[in-house]
Amino acid sequence: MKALPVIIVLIVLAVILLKASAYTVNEAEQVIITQFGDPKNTVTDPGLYFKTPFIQKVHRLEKRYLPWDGEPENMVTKDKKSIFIDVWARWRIVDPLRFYQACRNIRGGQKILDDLLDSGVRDVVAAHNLIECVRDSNEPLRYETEELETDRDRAVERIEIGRSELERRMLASVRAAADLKAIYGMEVTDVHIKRVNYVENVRNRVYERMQSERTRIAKLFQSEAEEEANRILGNTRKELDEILGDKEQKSAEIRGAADAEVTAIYAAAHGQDPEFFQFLRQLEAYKAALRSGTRLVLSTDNAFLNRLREAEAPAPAQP
Amino acid sequence: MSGEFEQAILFFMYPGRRYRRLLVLAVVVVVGLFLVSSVFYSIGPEEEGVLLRFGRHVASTEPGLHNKFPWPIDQVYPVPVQRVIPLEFGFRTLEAGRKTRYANPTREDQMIAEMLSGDLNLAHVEWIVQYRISDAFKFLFRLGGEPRQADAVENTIRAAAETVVRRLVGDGSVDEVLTFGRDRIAGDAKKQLQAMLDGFDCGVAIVAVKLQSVAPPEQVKDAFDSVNRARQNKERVINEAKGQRNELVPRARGERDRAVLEAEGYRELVVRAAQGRATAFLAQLAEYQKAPEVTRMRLYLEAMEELLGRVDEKLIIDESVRGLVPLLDLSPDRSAPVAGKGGRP
Repeated sequence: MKALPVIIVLIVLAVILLKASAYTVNEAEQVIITQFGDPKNTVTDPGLYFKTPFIQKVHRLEKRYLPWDGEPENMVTKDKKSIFIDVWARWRIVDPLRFYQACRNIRGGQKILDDLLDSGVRDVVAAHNLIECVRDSNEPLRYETEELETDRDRAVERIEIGRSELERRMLASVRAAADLKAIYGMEVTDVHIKRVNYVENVRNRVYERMQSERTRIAKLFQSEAEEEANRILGNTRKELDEILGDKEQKSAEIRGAADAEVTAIYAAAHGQDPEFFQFLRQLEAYKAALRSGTRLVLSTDNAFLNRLREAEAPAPAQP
Repeated sequence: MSGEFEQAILFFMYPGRRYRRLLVLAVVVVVGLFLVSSVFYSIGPEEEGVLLRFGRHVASTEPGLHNKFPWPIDQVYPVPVQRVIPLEFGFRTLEAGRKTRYANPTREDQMIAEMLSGDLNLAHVEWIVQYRISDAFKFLFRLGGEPRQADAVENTIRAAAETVVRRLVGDGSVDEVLTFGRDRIAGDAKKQLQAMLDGFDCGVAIVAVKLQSVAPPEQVKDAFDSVNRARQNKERVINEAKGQRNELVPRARGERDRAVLEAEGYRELVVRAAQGRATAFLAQLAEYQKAPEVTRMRLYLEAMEELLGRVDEKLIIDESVRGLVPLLDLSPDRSAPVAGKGGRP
């Protein structure tokens, strides 16, 4: 029992010693051991390790991929367009010792990348037209209406390399700028364009262009509508005239033929004795023409009224 | 006074037996509790536990109650692998439900939504991405950079999503993202985003990419709408013209056919009438030819009988009477034709 305080002190001392010499490295870390500031050891695999207590220190570094998201920058393309581009990248520490010596911590690493990526991206952007930052292929652009597709006033730009290849070139440019691994112990694995747009003060011009493009198409529709409608009406007019003409012609033909036939029929019949026909026709005509209300002044010198004068048979004569 | 102080120190340094035991008991209890809480852990129904022993990954645990070695030997990280997490781009939902409320778009929202199309036009695109953690270990230990691991992974998903969607929208015309290409873009975005994240090997599975509201920029909306209006108007005008034609032409044809039928009717009428009369005449002629004089006289007298019977006023003058005709009243409203051989003034 007298030894109890001693035991406690010993246990405490043992724990302190353990804490000062044992250390773990987890799956997300890589570790540098320094002794009086000099790097002694690098550990990248996770597990339990031991070091010289108190003399040696543990510096933990990130083993995982880290994002670099730069501030959106204004840049100028080869075709003198002012654009606003937001690029992001992925990097990691591949040589912890080198990284620790050159950059000390992640903050330091990000700063190096800020410079490298900014100039790398700027160089690539300045060497290519705007369209290379936007399109990935030269597939013909399709629109909702034919009129827009064949709008000859719309400038169609073709790409030479395209967006994806541009990103690869940005990555290559960064890698070529400095031997990242040898100098900084870093590796950049991806560069991508997150956002690209016109600069604020250019956007209004873009809106105007979009507006005038669409307004032009709207007007085109209008004039097409008029043209088509007029064409249809014109054809309709023509068709109607044709039908009318047909109607008049056929009608007249039939009626004319009918009249001719009637004349022929009468001529054939009356022609057999024209004089008799005239006789009958005159009698009919008198019957029809002389109606009530007529005052006739007649002579007795006719075949009807001669009996009023005498009873003898008259000389053969006709009224 | 200093005596009391010394006594207090002496008390703590050399506590009596009873106090010593109590102290030891207290320490044992505290350590015991600590150990127990460090040994037992539970994994929720939608989680997976990633177990590290001395920092090294040794196992992944299922939902339920488990035990492990206490810290610092073992450490477990529960990761929600079943949960589907939505990410919104270009807008933010404040409150979902039957009547969803949206936040006022910030500058950042606007910048996320505005993008260039392949014809260098601008469109405003809002979309969502739904993702799920497919591999708990990879989710924890492939990407770094943020104190909260979920933030680190989400930042990467967001950056990748914007890259992919902009790449797709930037390849086609503005009409494609506004109208007919939406489904295709969403489908391709899901595939390409998944491919990119698989390249990063970060243990994320994309459940869906959906385009929500897509519109031309406010400033040009009217112009875009006017195109639709003009197109619809064109259809309407053409249809009206066609409708007119479809009304007038058949009607005209109908009239033509009717006129033809009428003419034919006329023909039937007059021809038959003529034939009838001709036949009648010929019949009469045949009779006449049998006894001409008698028939002629008969017809004449019959006609005269009927005729003069109808006439109201008859003035029968013998031709030997002279000088009467000039005295007759020949006022215009009375027709006074003179028959026979008379009529000499």
